Amino acid sequence: MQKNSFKQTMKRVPPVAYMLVIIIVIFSFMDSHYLSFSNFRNVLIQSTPLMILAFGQTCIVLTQGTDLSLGAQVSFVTVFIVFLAQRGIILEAAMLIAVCCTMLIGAVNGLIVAKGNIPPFIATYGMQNIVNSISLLLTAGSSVYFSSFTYRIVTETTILFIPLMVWVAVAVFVIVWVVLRKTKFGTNIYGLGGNREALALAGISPVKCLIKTYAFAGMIAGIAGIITLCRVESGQPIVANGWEFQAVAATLLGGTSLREGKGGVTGTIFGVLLIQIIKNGLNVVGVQSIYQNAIIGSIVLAAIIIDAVVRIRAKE
Amino acid sequence: MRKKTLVAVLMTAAMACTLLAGCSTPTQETASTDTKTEESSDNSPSETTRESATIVDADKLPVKGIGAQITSDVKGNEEYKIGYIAKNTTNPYMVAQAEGVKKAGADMGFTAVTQAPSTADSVEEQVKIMEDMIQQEMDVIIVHCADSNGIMPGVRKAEEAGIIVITIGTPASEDTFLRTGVDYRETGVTVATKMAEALGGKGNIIILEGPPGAANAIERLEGIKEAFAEYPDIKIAASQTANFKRTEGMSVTENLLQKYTDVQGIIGMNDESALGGVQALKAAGRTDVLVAGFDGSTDATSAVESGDMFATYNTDPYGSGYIACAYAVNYLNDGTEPEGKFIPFPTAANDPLIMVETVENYKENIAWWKVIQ
Repeated sequence: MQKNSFKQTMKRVPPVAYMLVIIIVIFSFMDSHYLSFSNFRNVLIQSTPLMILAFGQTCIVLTQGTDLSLGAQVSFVTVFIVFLAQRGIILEAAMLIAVCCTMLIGAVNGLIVAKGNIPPFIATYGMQNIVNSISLLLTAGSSVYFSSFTYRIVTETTILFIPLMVWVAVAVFVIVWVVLRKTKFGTNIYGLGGNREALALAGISPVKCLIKTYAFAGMIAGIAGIITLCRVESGQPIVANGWEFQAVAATLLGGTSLREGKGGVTGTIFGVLLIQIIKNGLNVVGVQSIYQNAIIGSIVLAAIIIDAVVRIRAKE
Repeated sequence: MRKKTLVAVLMTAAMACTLLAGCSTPTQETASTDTKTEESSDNSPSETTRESATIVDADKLPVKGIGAQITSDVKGNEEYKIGYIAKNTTNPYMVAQAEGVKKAGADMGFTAVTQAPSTADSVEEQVKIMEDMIQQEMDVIIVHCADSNGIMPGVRKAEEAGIIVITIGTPASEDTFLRTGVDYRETGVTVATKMAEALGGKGNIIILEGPPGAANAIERLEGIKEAFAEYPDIKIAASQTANFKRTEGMSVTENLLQKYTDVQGIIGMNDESALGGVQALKAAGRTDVLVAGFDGSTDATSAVESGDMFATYNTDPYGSGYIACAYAVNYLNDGTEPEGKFIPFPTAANDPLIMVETVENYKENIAWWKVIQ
């Protein structure tokens, strides 16, 4: 790594971070309730499930793929844990079993993508529908309920004024960061996106590596599912529908590229925060929900366009 | 290097385990409320934890009239802030309810903020909106819950912050300050009783059920069965789900008419499925069957007018939103508590049935869907 001058450090900050600062300043002027510690904590709590999921999605995007089944996996985990718990399995054990299941789902995704050489978009879309159906079948379409105090331990225990669930996201971040930057597996993930031939030449099987990556993302989705369960204290078969796209958007906003195998989880944090801070801000300022999606869409597009322009300029 | 991967995976697994251990616990006294239904296994609201309906006479309510005619003498002493959270922005029912809250804001002099999840019926987003409304220091949050249990984290946080929570329609799994909107069971009783009377206490009925697990449809069905129990010669010939949908109401009725030719009445758990029944009857050339539904929607009103439908129940989302605000403002003004934790509105006391005699007046003056047209 090069010596970090201040300018270089600034260059490494994804443009989305600047966008974030601008938006926070705007909202602060619009409403006096906005800029407070309790609202800051509020945003962190609200961001957590998507944040964790987006870390998993980032790994997939780095391999030039997208996993559209991740949202469905989150919903499935919330439902499946309750389903098992209702049948007498200890909630905590049910959580572990569910995470193992999503790892398996991820592995199957990876197998289909790698062995069949099928575009990840299609393969995981198929899986999304299957997993969705399973969740709906397990619950007969409605939500399911199992009462436990564990949920509130996760959402209400605070360490340094921040709830435990946010610390879980921090831990997942650290793990994903270490895996991507410090392990052979991580290097291979970047290799899958950057240069598959080189990977093959180095004697590494892209098939195995893809399977592992999707399983890894599945496991992270499982953790996101546990957190979501604790958030809504019930199994909701469609709770996370669409999160996979938000996770892709957050990943791309964070500067991870779909084409080059470049980027990482640090940028993803800013991507998720951007989306959640806009949503929270619009709610706190009191913008009607029908306008909110349009505003979020516009800001996301603007951020992506600014990002692209900055990159083109940098290349010139 | 492989080892490192393994280590990383194990670390993540270990982290998942830390969730289980739990280092310190939140206040244990609030825990007791949470553990009482430890083995409860389904989502349908358990009546044991909630107060049953308190019927208040129409002249004792803080509002006058019903539907688009609703008015109130209640005025806020201060500029209160009341937030309303719908289930979605696509169902006319929800849109009308938000309008009711806005109208109340204009009439009673408070700031009304209406929100809905951008993903329809997402309780997770409803909780987020509640958290954001707590930041806004709302005085009251009115919510049409997407899920009774799922909304509870939001309800608890709001109540801890000293904010009054009112639910409309689907209640939270524990009693809040107030629940209003229709009592689904009562709507079922009222409609079924009327139909039984019209049939002279004799006949075979087809029921078009709601989506499996939907608490409102289940309670409505209980009410219908309860009413029919009074009439020994009324039989429920068949009861199948039409998922609240017109197309499914039609196909289910078509199929059932093949098997049961001797049918005198059809009750759909909402107007849409009932209208599907109407279509099926028309296709089969049957005009001797009474069809009833719930909600008093635009199409159902036309169907009652043209004689295709026997009756529908004005569930009045507009008035429900309005009355919730009236109770809230009364309480904020001088601490006047509502008469109970669940005051249904409208009830049979408000003449909610739309039939051939009342449809003209309903359409001209009352219909809740007028406010969103």
